[in-house]
This record gives sequence, structure tokens and C-alpha cells, in this order.
Amino acid sequence: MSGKEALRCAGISRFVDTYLDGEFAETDRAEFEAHLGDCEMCRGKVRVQAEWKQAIKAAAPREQAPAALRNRVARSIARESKPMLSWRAWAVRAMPAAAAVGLVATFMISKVQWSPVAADVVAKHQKMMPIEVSGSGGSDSVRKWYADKVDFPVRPPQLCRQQACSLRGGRLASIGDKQAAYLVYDINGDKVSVFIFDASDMPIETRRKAVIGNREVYFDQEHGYNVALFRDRGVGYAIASDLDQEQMVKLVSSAVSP
Amino acid sequence: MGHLDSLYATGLRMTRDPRDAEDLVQDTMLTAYRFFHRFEPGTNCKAWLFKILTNTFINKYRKKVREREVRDVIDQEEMPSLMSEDVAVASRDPEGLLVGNLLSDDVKRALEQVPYDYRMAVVLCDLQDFSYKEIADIMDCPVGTVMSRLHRGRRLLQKALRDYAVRQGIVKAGDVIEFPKKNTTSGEQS
Repeated sequence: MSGKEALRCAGISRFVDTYLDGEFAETDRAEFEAHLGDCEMCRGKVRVQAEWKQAIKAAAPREQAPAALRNRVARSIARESKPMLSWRAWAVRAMPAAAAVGLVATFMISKVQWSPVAADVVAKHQKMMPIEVSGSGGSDSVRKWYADKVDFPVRPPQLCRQQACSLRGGRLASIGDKQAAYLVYDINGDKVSVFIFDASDMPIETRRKAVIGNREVYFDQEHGYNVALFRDRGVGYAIASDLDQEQMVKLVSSAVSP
Repeated sequence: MGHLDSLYATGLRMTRDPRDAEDLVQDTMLTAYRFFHRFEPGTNCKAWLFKILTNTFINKYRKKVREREVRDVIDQEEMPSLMSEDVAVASRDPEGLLVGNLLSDDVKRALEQVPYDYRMAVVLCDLQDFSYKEIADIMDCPVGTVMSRLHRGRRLLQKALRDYAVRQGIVKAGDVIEFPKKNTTSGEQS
């Protein structure tokens, strides 16, 4: 090996991690790969590091938060919001009405502004999770498939009445630590995810609320995806897609109309 | 509370103690709740929570954990310089055997051997899937520092796993084949 080559390999080997982590700019990556094509030793380094990365990821310890911790967190947050309530009650009595209204309004905004459900839903929407039941048999057969798997009714919503739309299929999933039915729709080539879950103790409220077809619908945004959340007869629905707000409203109004 | 499991698992990697990890996560969630108005909607919620986790750990727990770690210092001082990176890279089959048989307990134990800054870079990147930029933000350091911490952290982790495997007899020390040494330009820059 010439001295020049050795130097080049040394320079390159510093960036094996960057390459494997997918953090290279396009041009750097092309240059890196060109070198790999010529250099057996660097190819070996990349291969070994790729195996390590994968093996460590696969064997990574993934402890779940104990239920006691979950409860502690919920309790401490509840405690946190309580003094504000009583303070608000006091304020309503003691302060001039106009100021009290201001207080109540800020309280509501600061308490309810995002839904952890939305974050979870978008994370799953982004993944390509395999379908367990095909939608080709119609929404009735999908509904039946879920009947003995989840303890809430799964009624695939009619997402669109005018546009080209199909129910691709569904699978079991979870929202937080609760079971959910996950349905995937195709609307004009765009993927739309619908999660159906038991809505009791599930905080779906967000800052942006709209009333559509007599139903309170909450909107949220995560990683640029729009999410709509609503309840229907005790069952929660979360819809995620990269459609814009206006199209989301259309989808929801189609879903909630009888 | 969608990220509670990730926060707890990472809290364990930071504190190495289940009780401390629980306290740390509770403090983190409460702080997040109090400061939620500072969170910009549309930005990464998980990264935001991890930044709070990291800051809470450094401000409140690190001193305590450090005191407990005094007894581990000797171990860490034995960490080799990373010039032996090529030794790690060169071994073929034994490495395959080791890599294919990694257990989560091994990874946990080996991570504990890696000093905090390097360990966290690896945890955030390989276990929690954050990008370099997100890690830089969480750890409050430049991206270049993230890269060197990751590089060093991964090699230290691999070394710890290999040493452990050698001690367990999974691979023999002699199995590690050295490549012909190049000059000393083998990569570490931190």
C-alpha cells in the first residue's frame, strides 16, 4: 500500500460512523462510497461497524417504565394543576370579572395544549408497519377480524365519499400502553393512518379544537404531519396523514357523518 | 406520556440505579409540564424531553452518581487509548461470533463501563435513534463533538463487550487477529 493510500484510508476511517449513521451530505457519501469500491480494507471496517451497530441496537436494554412510576408522574402532575384550580376559584371570587376571565383563559391554554396521543400516532404513521388483515374484503370483514382481538368496537370510518379512497388493511397496534386498532387508508395515493382505541383516560384534547358534525375534534401537528382526534361513543379515533388542514377537516367530517 | 419508557431506560443508563432513574424521570416530566409553554409545536417533542432529562440529570443527580462511581474509577482508568481500534476492526469470525450473541445484559453492563459523555452519545444515537443535530442540541455541544464522542464511545463499548466475552470464554483473547499496522494515523481525533 502506498503512503498516499494509507493516508486516505486513515482519513476515511474516521468517517465510517458518520457514513453508517446516514449523516453524510450526498457528495461526501458518493466520495466515501467510491473509495469503498476500491478498498477492501475499508469495506471490511464498514461491514464490521455495521454489524456492531445493528447488534447493539438489537440487544439494547429496553426497560419499560414501571407502573408505579407512571402513577407517580400522573399524580405529581395532577397535584401541580390542583393549586391552580383553587387559586382560580379564589380569583374568580375576589378579583374583578374582567381579570378573572383572563386568568381562566390562560389556565385553559396552559393546561391543555398538546396530546401525547398525537405524538405516538405520528411516530407509528411514519413507520411502514406490515398489514395483518387486508382491506380488500371490505370494511365489514376488517371489523370482524378485530372482533375477538380488541375489547372495543372497531368501525372503520368512511373517510371519503367523493375521492378515490380505499381501506388498505389493518393491524393491531398500541397507543401509549393501550391496545389500538390501526387502519391504513389510501387516499389519492396518500397514506392515511387511523387509530381506534378505548378513549377512557386517553387525553386527546389539544389547543386547536373544532366542532365538526356536533363532535369536538382536536387538531395537532407533529413532525409536519397533521393529526385529528375525536371520540365517538366512548371510542377514540386518531387520524394522521401529511394532508393539509383543509383536507383533514374534510376527512373528519366524512368520518363523523352518519 | 408516550416517551416515558424511553426516558426511563435512558435514565437507567445515566444513573445506573432504578430508584434514581425513577426520580429523575419524574422530575423531568414535572419540569416538562411546567415549561410546556416553551415547547414549540411542530418541533421534536421527544428531543425536547430528552434535553430536559439531560439537564435535570446534570443539575441534580450527576454529583450523587459521581460519588457512587468513585469505586469504578479504577476500571475506567484502565481504558486503553483508542489506537487499538484496528485490532477491533480486523478480527473476523470471532467478532462475528461475539456480535451474533450479544445479550441485552451484556450491552447494559458494557455501557456502564463507558464514561458518561461517550456513553450518552451512543445511547442517544444507537438506542434512541436521534440525529447528530438532535444529540448536539440535547447534549448542548457542537455536532463535531457529537461525532468524536460517538466514535470513541462506540469503540469503548465494543472493547468492553469484547473483554467481557473473553472473560466469559465466548471468544479467546488470541482470536483477535491484528491487521498489519498502518502508521499511527488510525482515526481518533477527539
